[in-house]
Amino acid sequence: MVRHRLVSGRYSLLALPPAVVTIALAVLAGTELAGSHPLTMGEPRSVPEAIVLRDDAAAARLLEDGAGINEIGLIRAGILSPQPVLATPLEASVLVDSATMFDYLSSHGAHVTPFDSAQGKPGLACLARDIGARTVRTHIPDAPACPPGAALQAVLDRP
Amino acid sequence: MTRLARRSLGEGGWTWISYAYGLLVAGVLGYFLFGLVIQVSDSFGNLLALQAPSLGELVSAQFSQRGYLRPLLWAQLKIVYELSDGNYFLWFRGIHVAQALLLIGLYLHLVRAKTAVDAALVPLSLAVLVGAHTFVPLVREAFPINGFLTIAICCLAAAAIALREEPRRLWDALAIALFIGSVLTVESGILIWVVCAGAYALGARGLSRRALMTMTGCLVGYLALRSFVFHVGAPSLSERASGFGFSTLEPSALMAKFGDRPWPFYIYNVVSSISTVLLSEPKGGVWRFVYELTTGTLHPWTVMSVVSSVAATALVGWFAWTRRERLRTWTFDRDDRLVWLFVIVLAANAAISFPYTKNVIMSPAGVFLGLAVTAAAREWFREGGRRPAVATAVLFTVLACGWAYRVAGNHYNLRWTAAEQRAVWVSVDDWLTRQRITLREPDGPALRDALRRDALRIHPTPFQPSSAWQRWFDIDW
Repeated sequence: MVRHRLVSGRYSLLALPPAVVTIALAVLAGTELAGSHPLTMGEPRSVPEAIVLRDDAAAARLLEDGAGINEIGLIRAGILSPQPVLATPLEASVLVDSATMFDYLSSHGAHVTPFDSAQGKPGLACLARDIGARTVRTHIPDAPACPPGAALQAVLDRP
Repeated sequence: MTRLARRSLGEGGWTWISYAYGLLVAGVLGYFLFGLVIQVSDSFGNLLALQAPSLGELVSAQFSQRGYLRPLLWAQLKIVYELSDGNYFLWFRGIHVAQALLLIGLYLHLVRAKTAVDAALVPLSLAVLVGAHTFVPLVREAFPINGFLTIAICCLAAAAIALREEPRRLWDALAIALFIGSVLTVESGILIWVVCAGAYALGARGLSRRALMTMTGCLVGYLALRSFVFHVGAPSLSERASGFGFSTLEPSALMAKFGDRPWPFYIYNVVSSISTVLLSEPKGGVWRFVYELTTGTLHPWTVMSVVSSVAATALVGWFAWTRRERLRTWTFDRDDRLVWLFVIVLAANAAISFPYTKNVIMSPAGVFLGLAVTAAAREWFREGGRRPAVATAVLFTVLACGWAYRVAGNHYNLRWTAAEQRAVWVSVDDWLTRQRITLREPDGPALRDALRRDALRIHPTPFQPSSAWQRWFDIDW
C-alpha cells in the first residue's frame, strides 16, 4: 500500500474548495453592493418577468405602482427560455405554474380567458395544458378543445 | 517540520487567520441574512400576539401552555419588539445576523486553530457547520428571533466554559445562567446541562463540581415544575405534521396510525434524528435518498449531502476507533473530548426529539458534528501520522468538495427563500383569513402595513439566481 507523509502545501488543498466558495460568495456580495449583478438576472423589468423569476413581491410592487395587469411584458432571454418571451402576467403565472400569483392577478382584475371562443384561439386553459401546469389548471375552467401546443406556440410566436 | 510549520506565524497568528476567515464566512452569511425579511408564518402571528399584553402578562401566560414552556423566548420577543420602535427589520434581522456572528465566533474558539494545519482545516470545519441541513433552518427561519439558534449558541458557550483548564466562579455563574436562560427559552435548552455534564464526565474541569451540582438541581427543579406544577407535557401527535417513511404525515394521519400506540413513532423519531446528523438521511423524517435511489430519480443535492455526511461520519468513526484505548482508560485530551461530546450531544438531542422530527431540533448536534470532524481531521494530519495516500485523497476530496457544494447550495436557497418570504406578504390578508386572525385596531393593521412595506418596497427582493442553477440545488426542505 502506498503510504506517505502529508507535508507542506498539501494541507492548503484541504481549504481550497470551501474557501473558493466563500470567496466567490463574498465577491458576489461585494459586486451586488457596488450595483452590479453577476450570476443573477438583476432586477425584474416587467410584471411577467418578476412572476417568472418567482419574485412575486416585485410583481405586486410594479402593479401597485401602475403597471397594467393585462399588459404584455418582456421576459428576457435566458430566464424562461433561450429566446426572449412576450407574455401577459397571467400567462407568466401559468408558464411557471404559480397558482398563488394566478389567484392574486385574477382577484385584482386580470382577464382570465380559458379559451377565446370569439376568435377561436386557445387561451390560458390550453396554455396550462401545453405547459403541464398542474396546479394552475385546477384554477381555470377547462377549455372545450385545445389544439396541442398551439397556445404555447402563440405566446412564443409573439412579435 | 513542515514547510508551512516552518513558516510559522506563531500560535496567535494562525488563530487570527482562522478568526479572519470566520469573519468572512459570517459576513457573507450576514449579507444573505439581511436579504430575508420578517416572515408571515411564525413571525407576523407572533408579533401580533405581542402587541396587547404587557411583558409580565405575556410571560405568565406561557406557564399555562400545554405542550411548551418558553417564557423567556416570549420575553425576548416582547423586549426587542418594544425596543425596535417600529424599525422591525433592522432589529430583528440585525439580531439574526449578530447571532450567526456569535455562533461562528464561539465555534472557532472551540476549534482553537493554533497551527498551520489547524488553520487549513478551518474552511472545511466551517463548511461542515454552515453547509449542514440542520444549520439551514437556523438561518432560513426566524420567529422572528430564532430560539434554536440561541440554543446552539448557548451550547457552544457552555462547551467553551466546560472545556476550560480550570473553573472560575464567574464562569460557573455564567454557565448556570446560560442553562436557566436556555431552558426557559426552548426545551432544547436542556442540552446545556448535557454539554456541561458530558464535558465533566469526560474529565474536563472548566466547570466546578459545585456548579454542575447546582445546574443539576436547576434541571430537576425545571422538570418538576414543568410536570407537576405547570402540567406542561410534550407536544401531542395531533399538533403538527411529521415525516415518516417516504412522506410527511398530517396530524390526522399520525393519530390514525399511532394514536393508540405512539412508542414505535417515538423510536422512529429518535433513530431518524441520529441518522439525519450522521448520514443526512432522513431529512425531517423523510427518507428521500432511499426513495430516489429505489425509483431511479437521484438528485445531485441528495447524493452530495449523503455522501459528504457519510465521509464526515466515517472520519469521526475512524478517530473513535483509533483512540479506543483512551476510552477504555478514560483518559482524554481536548480533541477526544470534542468528539465524545458530539456523541453525547447527538444521543441527548435525538432523545429529546422523540415527539416529532425536524432538522432544526437537531441543530446543536449538527454544530458539534463540525467540531468532531475538525478534531478527527486534526488527528488524521497529526505530525508523524502516516495515512494511506489514496484514502487521504478520496476522503478529503469528498469532504472538502462535498461540504463546499453544500455551503453554496444553502446560500443559493437563502436567495430563493428571500423571494418566497416576500411572496407571502403579497397576499397577507388571504393568509390572515385562512388563519382566522382578526387584526386588532389600530396596532394590528399598522404592523401589517409596516412589515408589508418592508418586504415589498423598503427592502426589495435580492436579485434571484438564474433558474439554470436550480437543478443543482433543488433542496427539499
